[in-house]
Amino acid sequence: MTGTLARSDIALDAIRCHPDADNPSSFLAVNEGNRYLHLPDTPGVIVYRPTGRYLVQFGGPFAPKEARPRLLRAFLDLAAEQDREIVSIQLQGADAAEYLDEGFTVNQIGASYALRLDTFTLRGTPFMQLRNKIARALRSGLTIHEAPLGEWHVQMKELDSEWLGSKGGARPLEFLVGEYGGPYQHLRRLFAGVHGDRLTGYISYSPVYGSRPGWMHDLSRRRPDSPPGVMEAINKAAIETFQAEGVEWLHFGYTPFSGLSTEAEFPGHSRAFQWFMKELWTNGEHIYPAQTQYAYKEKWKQDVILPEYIAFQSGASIPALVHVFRACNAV
Amino acid sequence: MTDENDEIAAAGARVVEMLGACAEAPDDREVGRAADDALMRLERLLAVAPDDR
Repeated sequence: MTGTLARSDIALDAIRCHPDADNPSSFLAVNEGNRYLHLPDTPGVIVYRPTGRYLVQFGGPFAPKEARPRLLRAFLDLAAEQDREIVSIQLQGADAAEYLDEGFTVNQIGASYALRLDTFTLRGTPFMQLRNKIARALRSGLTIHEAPLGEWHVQMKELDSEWLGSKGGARPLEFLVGEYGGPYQHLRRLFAGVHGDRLTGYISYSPVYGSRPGWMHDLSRRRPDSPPGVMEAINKAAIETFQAEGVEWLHFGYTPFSGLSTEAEFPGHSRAFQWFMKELWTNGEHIYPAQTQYAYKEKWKQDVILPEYIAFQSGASIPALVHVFRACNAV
Repeated sequence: MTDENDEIAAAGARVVEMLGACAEAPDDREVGRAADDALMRLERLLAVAPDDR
Protein backbone atom coordinates (compact mmCIF):
# COMPACT_ATOMS: atom_id res chain seq x y z
CA MET A 1 0.00 0.00 0.00
CA THR A 2 1.26 3.47 -0.87
CA GLY A 3 1.07 6.08 1.84
CA THR A 4 0.75 9.78 1.00
CA LEU A 5 0.71 11.24 4.48
CA ALA A 6 1.16 14.97 4.94
CA ARG A 7 3.48 14.18 7.83
CA SER A 8 6.73 16.03 7.74
CA ASP A 9 8.22 13.99 10.61
CA ILE A 10 8.63 11.09 8.18
CA ALA A 11 10.50 13.43 5.85
CA LEU A 12 12.70 14.76 8.63
CA ASP A 13 13.66 11.23 9.56
CA ALA A 14 14.40 10.41 5.89
CA ILE A 15 16.60 13.43 5.20
CA ARG A 16 18.58 12.78 8.36
CA CYS A 17 18.98 9.02 7.91
CA HIS A 18 19.33 8.84 4.11
CA PRO A 19 21.30 11.85 2.85
CA ASP A 20 22.76 9.58 0.14
CA ALA A 21 22.33 12.10 -2.68
CA ASP A 22 23.89 14.92 -0.61
CA ASN A 23 21.14 17.41 -1.36
CA PRO A 24 22.20 20.54 0.56
CA SER A 25 18.65 21.89 0.44
CA SER A 26 17.08 18.76 1.88
CA PHE A 27 15.61 20.60 4.87
CA LEU A 28 13.09 22.13 2.44
CA ALA A 29 11.50 18.67 2.56
CA VAL A 30 9.77 19.65 5.81
CA ASN A 31 8.26 22.86 4.39
CA GLU A 32 4.61 23.39 5.17
CA GLY A 33 2.38 22.29 2.29
CA ASN A 34 4.57 19.44 1.05
CA ARG A 35 3.12 15.98 0.43
CA TYR A 36 4.99 12.75 1.02
CA LEU A 37 4.95 9.37 -0.64
CA HIS A 38 6.26 6.52 1.44
CA LEU A 39 5.89 2.77 1.36
CA PRO A 40 5.35 0.84 4.58
CA ASP A 41 8.01 -1.74 3.76
CA THR A 42 10.57 0.62 2.19
CA PRO A 43 12.70 3.24 3.92
CA GLY A 44 12.64 6.83 2.73
CA VAL A 45 10.20 9.28 1.16
CA ILE A 46 9.43 11.19 -1.98
CA VAL A 47 8.57 14.86 -1.38
CA TYR A 48 6.20 16.55 -3.80
CA ARG A 49 3.35 18.95 -4.44
CA PRO A 50 0.40 18.28 -6.73
CA THR A 51 0.33 21.32 -9.01
CA GLY A 52 -2.13 21.53 -11.88
CA ARG A 53 -1.62 18.50 -14.12
CA TYR A 54 1.81 17.76 -12.62
CA LEU A 55 3.31 16.26 -9.52
CA VAL A 56 6.25 18.52 -8.81
CA GLN A 57 8.88 16.61 -6.86
CA PHE A 58 11.50 18.22 -4.65
CA GLY A 59 14.87 16.45 -4.91
CA GLY A 60 15.13 12.75 -5.58
CA PRO A 61 13.91 10.04 -3.26
CA PHE A 62 15.37 10.65 0.20
CA ALA A 63 16.12 6.97 0.67
CA PRO A 64 18.95 4.45 0.69
CA LYS A 65 20.23 3.49 -2.76
CA GLU A 66 18.50 0.11 -2.88
CA ALA A 67 15.11 1.67 -2.07
CA ARG A 68 15.24 4.54 -4.52
CA PRO A 69 14.07 2.76 -7.71
CA ARG A 70 11.14 1.23 -5.84
CA LEU A 71 10.01 4.59 -4.48
CA LEU A 72 10.33 6.23 -7.88
CA ARG A 73 8.26 3.48 -9.50
CA ALA A 74 5.57 3.90 -6.82
CA PHE A 75 5.62 7.63 -7.53
CA LEU A 76 5.17 6.95 -11.26
CA ASP A 77 2.18 4.73 -10.39
CA LEU A 78 0.72 7.49 -8.23
CA ALA A 79 1.10 10.02 -11.06
CA ALA A 80 -0.56 7.61 -13.52
CA GLU A 81 -3.49 7.03 -11.13
CA GLN A 82 -4.00 10.79 -10.93
CA ASP A 83 -3.50 11.30 -14.68
CA ARG A 84 -0.59 13.61 -13.88
CA GLU A 85 3.01 13.87 -15.04
CA ILE A 86 6.09 14.09 -12.87
CA VAL A 87 8.58 16.90 -13.03
CA SER A 88 11.41 16.75 -10.47
CA ILE A 89 13.43 19.77 -9.41
CA GLN A 90 16.68 20.19 -7.47
CA LEU A 91 17.84 16.67 -8.23
CA GLN A 92 21.50 16.13 -7.44
CA GLY A 93 23.91 14.35 -9.75
CA ALA A 94 23.66 11.26 -7.52
CA ASP A 95 19.87 11.21 -8.04
CA ALA A 96 20.04 11.03 -11.83
CA ALA A 97 20.61 7.31 -12.50
CA GLU A 98 17.17 6.13 -11.37
CA TYR A 99 15.45 8.82 -13.42
CA LEU A 100 17.45 8.00 -16.54
CA ASP A 101 16.60 4.32 -16.03
CA GLU A 102 12.89 5.24 -15.98
CA GLY A 103 13.20 7.20 -19.23
CA PHE A 104 13.22 10.71 -17.81
CA THR A 105 15.11 13.52 -19.54
CA VAL A 106 17.51 15.05 -17.03
CA ASN A 107 18.95 18.55 -17.58
CA GLN A 108 21.03 20.88 -15.48
CA ILE A 109 18.96 23.83 -14.24
CA GLY A 110 21.46 25.63 -12.03
CA ALA A 111 23.85 24.98 -9.20
CA SER A 112 24.30 25.26 -5.47
CA TYR A 113 27.39 26.48 -3.68
CA ALA A 114 29.30 25.57 -0.54
CA LEU A 115 32.13 27.02 1.52
CA ARG A 116 34.63 25.05 3.61
CA LEU A 117 34.63 26.75 6.98
CA ASP A 118 37.77 25.17 8.42
CA THR A 119 39.96 27.09 5.97
CA PHE A 120 37.77 30.10 5.31
CA THR A 121 39.07 33.56 6.16
CA LEU A 122 38.11 37.04 5.02
CA ARG A 123 41.76 38.12 5.08
CA GLY A 124 43.53 39.05 1.85
CA THR A 125 42.96 41.15 -1.24
CA PRO A 126 40.15 39.07 -2.78
CA PHE A 127 37.92 39.98 0.18
CA MET A 128 38.87 43.65 0.50
CA GLN A 129 35.61 44.98 -0.98
CA LEU A 130 33.56 42.60 1.12
CA ARG A 131 35.40 43.62 4.30
CA ASN A 132 34.84 47.31 3.49
CA LYS A 133 31.14 46.73 2.89
CA ILE A 134 30.78 44.91 6.21
CA ALA A 135 32.74 47.63 8.03
CA ARG A 136 30.43 50.30 6.59
CA ALA A 137 27.37 48.41 7.81
CA LEU A 138 28.86 48.05 11.29
CA ARG A 139 29.77 51.77 11.39
CA SER A 140 26.08 52.53 10.83
CA GLY A 141 25.39 51.06 14.28
CA LEU A 142 24.39 47.59 13.13
CA THR A 143 24.71 44.87 15.76
CA ILE A 144 24.21 41.17 15.12
CA HIS A 145 22.65 38.66 17.48
CA GLU A 146 21.78 35.01 17.26
CA ALA A 147 18.34 34.76 18.77
CA PRO A 148 15.35 32.47 19.05
CA LEU A 149 12.56 33.18 16.58
CA GLY A 150 10.13 34.32 19.29
CA GLU A 151 12.22 37.38 20.03
CA TRP A 152 11.98 38.69 16.47
CA HIS A 153 8.96 36.94 14.97
CA VAL A 154 6.66 39.99 14.85
CA GLN A 155 9.33 42.27 13.37
CA MET A 156 10.33 39.58 10.86
CA LYS A 157 6.74 39.40 9.60
CA GLU A 158 6.68 43.21 9.27
CA LEU A 159 10.04 43.18 7.50
CA ASP A 160 8.82 40.46 5.10
CA SER A 161 5.79 42.61 4.17
CA GLU A 162 8.02 45.63 3.59
CA TRP A 163 10.44 43.56 1.54
CA LEU A 164 7.66 42.10 -0.65
CA GLY A 165 6.19 45.60 -1.04
CA SER A 166 9.55 46.87 -2.28
CA LYS A 167 9.47 44.15 -4.95
CA GLY A 168 6.27 45.62 -6.40
CA GLY A 169 3.98 43.48 -4.26
CA ALA A 170 5.66 40.22 -5.31
CA ARG A 171 4.03 36.97 -4.14
CA PRO A 172 5.76 35.20 -1.27
CA LEU A 173 7.68 32.26 -2.73
CA GLU A 174 7.38 28.79 -1.22
CA PHE A 175 8.36 25.13 -1.81
CA LEU A 176 11.99 25.76 -2.90
CA VAL A 177 12.42 28.60 -0.41
CA GLY A 178 13.10 28.25 3.32
CA GLU A 179 10.58 29.02 6.00
CA TYR A 180 10.64 29.98 9.64
CA GLY A 181 8.30 28.89 12.39
CA GLY A 182 6.49 25.58 12.57
CA PRO A 183 7.38 22.37 14.37
CA TYR A 184 11.05 22.29 13.25
CA GLN A 185 12.06 25.85 14.05
CA HIS A 186 14.24 24.58 16.90
CA LEU A 187 16.45 22.89 14.28
CA ARG A 188 17.21 26.16 12.49
CA ARG A 189 19.50 29.03 13.52
CA LEU A 190 18.46 32.67 13.25
CA PHE A 191 20.86 35.62 13.08
CA ALA A 192 19.34 39.10 13.32
CA GLY A 193 20.91 42.41 12.28
CA VAL A 194 19.60 45.22 14.46
CA HIS A 195 19.83 48.99 14.76
CA GLY A 196 18.84 49.80 18.33
CA ASP A 197 15.77 47.64 18.87
CA ARG A 198 14.70 47.72 15.21
CA LEU A 199 15.27 44.63 13.07
CA THR A 200 17.18 45.64 9.91
CA GLY A 201 17.73 42.21 8.36
CA TYR A 202 17.91 38.55 9.16
CA ILE A 203 19.31 35.27 7.87
CA SER A 204 17.84 31.91 8.78
CA TYR A 205 20.16 28.89 8.53
CA SER A 206 18.86 25.35 8.14
CA PRO A 207 20.74 22.13 8.88
CA VAL A 208 22.56 20.21 6.15
CA TYR A 209 23.18 16.49 6.50
CA GLY A 210 25.33 14.15 4.41
CA SER A 211 28.98 14.24 3.41
CA ARG A 212 29.22 18.05 3.69
CA PRO A 213 27.43 18.61 6.97
CA GLY A 214 26.82 22.08 8.30
CA TRP A 215 24.32 24.87 7.74
CA MET A 216 22.61 26.37 4.74
CA HIS A 217 22.27 30.15 4.35
CA ASP A 218 18.55 29.92 3.79
CA LEU A 219 15.89 32.61 3.98
CA SER A 220 17.36 36.12 4.17
CA ARG A 221 15.63 39.49 4.10
CA ARG A 222 16.51 43.10 4.83
CA ARG A 223 14.59 46.32 5.05
CA PRO A 224 14.60 48.19 1.72
CA ASP A 225 16.17 51.24 3.44
CA SER A 226 18.94 49.25 5.18
CA PRO A 227 22.55 50.35 4.61
CA PRO A 228 24.74 48.33 2.22
CA GLY A 229 26.53 45.36 3.73
CA VAL A 230 23.88 44.35 6.26
CA MET A 231 23.43 40.81 4.92
CA GLU A 232 27.17 40.33 4.53
CA ALA A 233 27.76 41.50 8.11
CA ILE A 234 25.12 39.11 9.44
CA ASN A 235 26.58 36.22 7.45
CA LYS A 236 30.11 37.01 8.66
CA ALA A 237 28.91 36.90 12.27
CA ALA A 238 27.20 33.57 11.61
CA ILE A 239 30.35 32.18 9.96
CA GLU A 240 32.42 33.14 12.99
CA THR A 241 29.92 31.44 15.28
CA PHE A 242 29.90 28.28 13.16
CA GLN A 243 33.69 28.23 12.91
CA ALA A 244 33.97 28.50 16.71
CA GLU A 245 31.67 25.47 16.93
CA GLY A 246 33.79 23.48 14.45
CA VAL A 247 31.10 23.41 11.74
CA GLU A 248 32.62 22.08 8.51
CA TRP A 249 30.49 23.60 5.74
CA LEU A 250 28.35 26.62 5.00
CA HIS A 251 26.06 26.04 2.04
CA PHE A 252 24.58 28.91 0.06
CA GLY A 253 21.87 26.89 -1.66
CA TYR A 254 20.51 26.71 -5.16
CA THR A 255 20.62 29.50 -7.72
CA PRO A 256 18.61 28.72 -10.85
CA PHE A 257 20.35 29.01 -14.24
CA SER A 258 23.77 29.54 -12.62
CA GLY A 259 26.90 27.39 -12.86
CA LEU A 260 25.79 25.79 -16.13
CA SER A 261 28.32 23.45 -17.69
CA THR A 262 28.10 21.10 -20.67
CA GLU A 263 30.33 18.64 -18.76
CA ALA A 264 27.68 18.41 -16.03
CA GLU A 265 24.94 17.25 -18.42
CA PHE A 266 23.83 13.60 -18.57
CA PRO A 267 23.41 11.49 -21.72
CA GLY A 268 20.10 12.17 -23.41
CA HIS A 269 19.77 15.71 -22.08
CA SER A 270 17.85 18.22 -24.15
CA ARG A 271 20.17 20.59 -25.98
CA ALA A 272 17.25 22.97 -26.51
CA PHE A 273 16.54 23.14 -22.79
CA GLN A 274 20.25 23.60 -22.12
CA TRP A 275 20.24 26.51 -24.61
CA PHE A 276 17.16 27.92 -22.89
CA MET A 277 18.82 27.81 -19.45
CA LYS A 278 21.84 29.68 -20.79
CA GLU A 279 19.47 32.24 -22.29
CA LEU A 280 17.68 32.71 -18.96
CA TRP A 281 21.04 33.10 -17.22
CA THR A 282 22.17 35.76 -19.69
CA ASN A 283 18.94 37.63 -20.40
CA GLY A 284 16.36 36.37 -17.90
CA GLU A 285 16.89 38.73 -14.96
CA HIS A 286 13.27 39.88 -15.35
CA ILE A 287 12.11 36.27 -14.91
CA TYR A 288 14.40 35.43 -11.97
CA PRO A 289 17.27 37.57 -10.59
CA ALA A 290 19.76 34.70 -10.84
CA GLN A 291 22.81 36.86 -11.57
CA THR A 292 22.10 39.13 -8.59
CA GLN A 293 21.69 36.12 -6.32
CA TYR A 294 24.83 34.51 -7.71
CA ALA A 295 26.84 37.73 -7.22
CA TYR A 296 26.11 37.62 -3.48
CA LYS A 297 27.22 33.98 -3.27
CA GLU A 298 30.28 34.49 -5.48
CA LYS A 299 31.73 37.23 -3.27
CA TRP A 300 32.40 34.60 -0.55
CA LYS A 301 34.62 32.65 -3.02
CA GLN A 302 32.82 29.32 -2.88
CA ASP A 303 34.83 26.09 -2.64
CA VAL A 304 32.34 23.72 -4.23
CA ILE A 305 29.86 24.12 -7.08
CA LEU A 306 27.20 21.40 -7.19
CA PRO A 307 25.14 21.12 -10.39
CA GLU A 308 21.40 20.77 -9.81
CA TYR A 309 18.97 19.16 -12.22
CA ILE A 310 15.40 19.01 -13.45
CA ALA A 311 13.93 15.70 -14.64
CA PHE A 312 11.04 15.54 -17.08
CA GLN A 313 8.93 12.40 -17.29
CA SER A 314 7.97 12.94 -20.95
CA GLY A 315 10.86 14.89 -22.39
CA ALA A 316 11.98 18.45 -21.75
CA SER A 317 8.90 20.62 -21.49
CA ILE A 318 8.12 24.30 -20.99
CA PRO A 319 4.75 23.75 -19.25
CA ALA A 320 6.45 21.30 -16.88
CA LEU A 321 9.01 24.01 -16.03
CA VAL A 322 6.19 26.53 -15.56
CA HIS A 323 4.57 24.14 -13.09
CA VAL A 324 7.76 24.18 -11.03
CA PHE A 325 7.39 27.98 -10.89
CA ARG A 326 3.74 27.46 -10.06
CA ALA A 327 4.53 25.11 -7.17
CA CYS A 328 6.79 27.91 -5.86
CA ASN A 329 3.86 30.38 -6.03
CA ALA A 330 5.78 32.39 -8.63
CA VAL A 331 3.04 31.96 -11.28
CA MET B 1 26.46 29.86 -40.54
CA THR B 2 24.88 33.28 -39.89
CA ASP B 3 21.54 32.12 -41.27
CA GLU B 4 21.74 29.07 -39.03
CA ASN B 5 22.54 31.23 -35.99
CA ASP B 6 19.68 33.57 -36.83
CA GLU B 7 17.33 30.63 -37.12
CA ILE B 8 18.42 29.31 -33.72
CA ALA B 9 18.09 32.76 -32.16
CA ALA B 10 14.58 33.13 -33.58
CA ALA B 11 13.57 29.66 -32.41
CA GLY B 12 14.99 30.43 -28.96
CA ALA B 13 13.13 33.72 -28.80
CA ARG B 14 9.94 31.81 -29.54
CA VAL B 15 10.65 29.46 -26.60
CA VAL B 16 11.14 32.46 -24.30
CA GLU B 17 7.90 33.97 -25.59
CA MET B 18 6.04 30.71 -24.99
CA LEU B 19 7.38 30.51 -21.43
CA GLY B 20 5.55 33.78 -20.80
CA ALA B 21 2.41 32.46 -22.49
CA CYS B 22 2.47 29.28 -20.38
CA ALA B 23 2.97 31.31 -17.21
CA GLU B 24 -0.08 33.38 -18.12
CA ALA B 25 -2.21 30.28 -18.73
CA PRO B 26 -0.61 27.28 -16.98
CA ASP B 27 -3.74 25.13 -17.28
CA ASP B 28 -4.15 25.73 -21.02
CA ARG B 29 -2.95 22.52 -22.67
CA GLU B 30 -2.98 24.05 -26.16
CA VAL B 31 -0.57 26.77 -25.06
CA GLY B 32 1.56 24.09 -23.40
CA ARG B 33 1.68 22.05 -26.61
CA ALA B 34 2.63 25.13 -28.63
CA ALA B 35 5.44 25.87 -26.15
CA ASP B 36 6.77 22.34 -26.43
CA ASP B 37 6.53 22.52 -30.23
CA ALA B 38 8.73 25.63 -30.03
CA LEU B 39 11.21 23.76 -27.83
CA MET B 40 11.22 20.81 -30.26
CA ARG B 41 11.93 23.12 -33.19
CA LEU B 42 14.91 24.54 -31.30
CA GLU B 43 16.02 20.98 -30.49
CA ARG B 44 15.99 20.03 -34.19
CA LEU B 45 18.01 23.09 -35.14
CA LEU B 46 20.58 22.44 -32.43
CA ALA B 47 20.84 18.77 -33.35
CA VAL B 48 22.57 19.70 -36.59
CA ALA B 49 24.63 22.53 -35.06
CA PRO B 50 28.17 22.21 -33.64
CA ASP B 51 28.37 21.11 -29.98
CA ASP B 52 29.83 24.33 -28.56
CA ARG B 53 26.86 26.51 -29.46
